[in-house]
Amino acid sequence: MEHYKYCSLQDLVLDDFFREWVLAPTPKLNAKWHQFLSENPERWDVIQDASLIVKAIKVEEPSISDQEIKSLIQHTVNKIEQKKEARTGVLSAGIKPLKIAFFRQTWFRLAASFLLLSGLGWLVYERYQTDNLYDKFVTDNKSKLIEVINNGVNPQIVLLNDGSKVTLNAGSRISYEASFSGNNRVVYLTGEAFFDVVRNPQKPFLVYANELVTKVLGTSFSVKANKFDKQVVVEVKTGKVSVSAQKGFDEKADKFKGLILTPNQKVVYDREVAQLTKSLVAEPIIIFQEKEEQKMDFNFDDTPANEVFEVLENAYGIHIIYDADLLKNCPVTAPLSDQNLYKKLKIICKAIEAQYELIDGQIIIQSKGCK
Amino acid sequence: MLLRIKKNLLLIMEQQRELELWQAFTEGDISAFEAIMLEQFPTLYQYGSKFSKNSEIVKDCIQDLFLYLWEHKEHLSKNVSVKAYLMSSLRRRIHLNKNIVSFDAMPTGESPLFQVAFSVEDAFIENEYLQRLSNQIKDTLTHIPQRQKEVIYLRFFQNLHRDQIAEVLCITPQTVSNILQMAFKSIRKNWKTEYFGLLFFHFVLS
Repeated sequence: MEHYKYCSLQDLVLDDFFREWVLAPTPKLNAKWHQFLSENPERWDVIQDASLIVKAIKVEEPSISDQEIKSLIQHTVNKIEQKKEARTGVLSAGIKPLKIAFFRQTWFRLAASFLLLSGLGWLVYERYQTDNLYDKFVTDNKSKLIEVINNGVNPQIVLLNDGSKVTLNAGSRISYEASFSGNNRVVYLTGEAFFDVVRNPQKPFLVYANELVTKVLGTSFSVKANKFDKQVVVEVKTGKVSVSAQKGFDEKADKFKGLILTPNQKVVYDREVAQLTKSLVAEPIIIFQEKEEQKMDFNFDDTPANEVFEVLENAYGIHIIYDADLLKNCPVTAPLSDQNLYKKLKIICKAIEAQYELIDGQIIIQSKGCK
Repeated sequence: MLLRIKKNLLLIMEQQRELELWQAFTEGDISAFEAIMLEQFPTLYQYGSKFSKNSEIVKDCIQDLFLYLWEHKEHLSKNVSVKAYLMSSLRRRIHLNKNIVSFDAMPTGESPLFQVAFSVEDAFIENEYLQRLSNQIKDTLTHIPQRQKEVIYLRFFQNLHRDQIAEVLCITPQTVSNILQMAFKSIRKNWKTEYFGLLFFHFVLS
């Protein structure tokens, strides 16, 4: 990292390692660069500028939906199937001298229907093969399981025996023990679902979804674990949730080794590199509404910035890191009720000439203070 | 240093996974084949569309490419960089495609142009000086020779490595480095003029 102490703005903009951090940050890259910045605070400005430039310059790419890609692929696969059938047909046709057109002969029709049927059978088989992680969980579990498959187009609500509620998105499946007789309440998911779990500290609630296990006592959260997606995502709405990789997870162990998530945080599991990253959800919502109703108007009038951040911290339940002593002298006057959290932060930071950053599901305020 | 090694390790693991999928496909595993298509389609589509404005032709070319690969799977090399190999094959296929040449009104015999539009997203930048710098880079990128543009695109916007770019363009890795250096030089040169212009501006004002 030594040469980054002296390099210029354009060196940074054209630097691979720097670009990678800006465009595809990982916790490790973040740590590395933050350490560098804390050791060389005078580089803050140039790094900030360079990252803005890197992010701003884009290439105009045509858009294509996942749906369309999937149908194009299906089309290609169908063509392959058709060719295979045609070839088998022609080959068998070559054995006998042709009196009638070969495609009119009974044996050809039989062969064709057989191929068609086996082709269809194979397609159906493929469909069911797609959920192999899920299937593995379900077959490995010895208890009697109930399965719910949402084949419709609308989300479907599933009520579990313990009173918990699962909103199952279209095309998703869950399996669970009918009575939850074990030490844990275990649910297997493939696809997407939102869970509203009834609190029971004696019986933790476990959701197995692709490579992740999510463990809660009683809270609400959503899980996205589609077979073909490159990521598995868990987002927390209320309460506390812990998430761990399924590999090496032991249901019986007391200690649950994983990431703890609080409201408005999410964890993304990158399936290719097998890595968990904590961050904030796209649209954080206000959580402690009833408790501090009167304080929730966000209309600040000459309020010291540290108090403003305290209000935001309580409202969204997100940890905000700032230097209270420095910000005491930065008054904020702004009506901020209508904006979302990120907009609020942007306006406040602009007013007090600070910058904010999202790191590991927390907000970090960088400020030089106000005179 | 340690981070670099770690990064390389991840990269190697990723390549290993891609390669296993590829080998399964060459041995006739159609679900591996589908997985490869699903993974690579977006990149191929983005890259292909730089050669033709007609999205249908680009989609056709990609599908034809995959059909061709399936039919010749027994003869394919088992040790390739999947992304680079596919991009290179698509590039060749597009160059051979008569429809593209006529549709985009190219004089016969010439390969289609690599056309890419760079843009600056103003929403990121409120500072006027940075906005000007970004626009400056964008303008430079827009005006550098086609070859340099393609290499910059592959390096910075598709995140390919030097050797992969060399494979896509059928040139040596050293040539890739040279082309990149030339592009950097143009960016730096134009940047400097702009930068001094701004300094001068400040000087006159104060």
